[in-house]
Amino acid sequence: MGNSSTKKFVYVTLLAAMAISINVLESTFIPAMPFGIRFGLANIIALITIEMFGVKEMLIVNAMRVVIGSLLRGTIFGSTFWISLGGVCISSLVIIICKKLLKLPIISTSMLSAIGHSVGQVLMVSFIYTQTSMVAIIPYLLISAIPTGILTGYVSLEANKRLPRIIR
Amino acid sequence: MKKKDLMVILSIAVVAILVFVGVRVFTEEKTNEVGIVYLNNQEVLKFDMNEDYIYEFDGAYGHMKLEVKDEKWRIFEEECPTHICSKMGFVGKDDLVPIVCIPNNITVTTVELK
Repeated sequence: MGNSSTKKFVYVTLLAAMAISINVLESTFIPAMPFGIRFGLANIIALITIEMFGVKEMLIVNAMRVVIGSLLRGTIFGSTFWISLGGVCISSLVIIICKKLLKLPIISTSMLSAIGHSVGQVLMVSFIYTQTSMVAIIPYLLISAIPTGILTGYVSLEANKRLPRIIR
Repeated sequence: MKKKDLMVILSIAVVAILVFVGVRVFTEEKTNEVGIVYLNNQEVLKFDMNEDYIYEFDGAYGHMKLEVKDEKWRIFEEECPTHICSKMGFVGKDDLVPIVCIPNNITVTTVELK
């Protein structure tokens, strides 16, 4: 018991570290596209975590990604931090609903969580800047979530095939 | 790719089109519209979108320039780590999308003059 929970703890922290580094590297090396469209590569890790472990671990990994990621970038408790927190809350919620309630395949989960992330961010921006007209950006984000969601979903699908089922 | 994935893609596309059309249908036509720049929800400057001009102002992060040309406007030469706002390029009043720069806490949008 002690041994396996330590093992699990180590795996979860490793996954969180990977999510944080992917997040920081992506925002540094991949230039942002118009409307702030991004690949959301860190979502791969969230999808792998929920598949390998479960809901609780995915929430830990996502929360660590936002908090430690913004600590590293020096944007903690600034408006950027609250916006990414809003995005990650909605996208985690969407992953849980898709995975546990609707039992959707991983690529659909990935696309819908990408949408959740952008909608969460847009809601947060509308809230902070009291700009309800930000809603006009949602169609572009919805369409862009299709290719980026397929990419991240496919990567985590292939990764999950190769990763051993460590702890249930 | 499974059948469910294709259905999800299709429904995303349908919702996107509905939102795209819906936003345009339900937005009221503004008369006597002027452009406005906010910093932290405080008005920084108003601009006439029919007059070509280059405005300069400071955001929370650094200096920014706003160019108005042919009833469209854009942010350029801004001091900002991401440059998302200048990549949006020119925005007109039919685009309905405000320019938002988060590191600078700047929003550029339109209001109705009363």
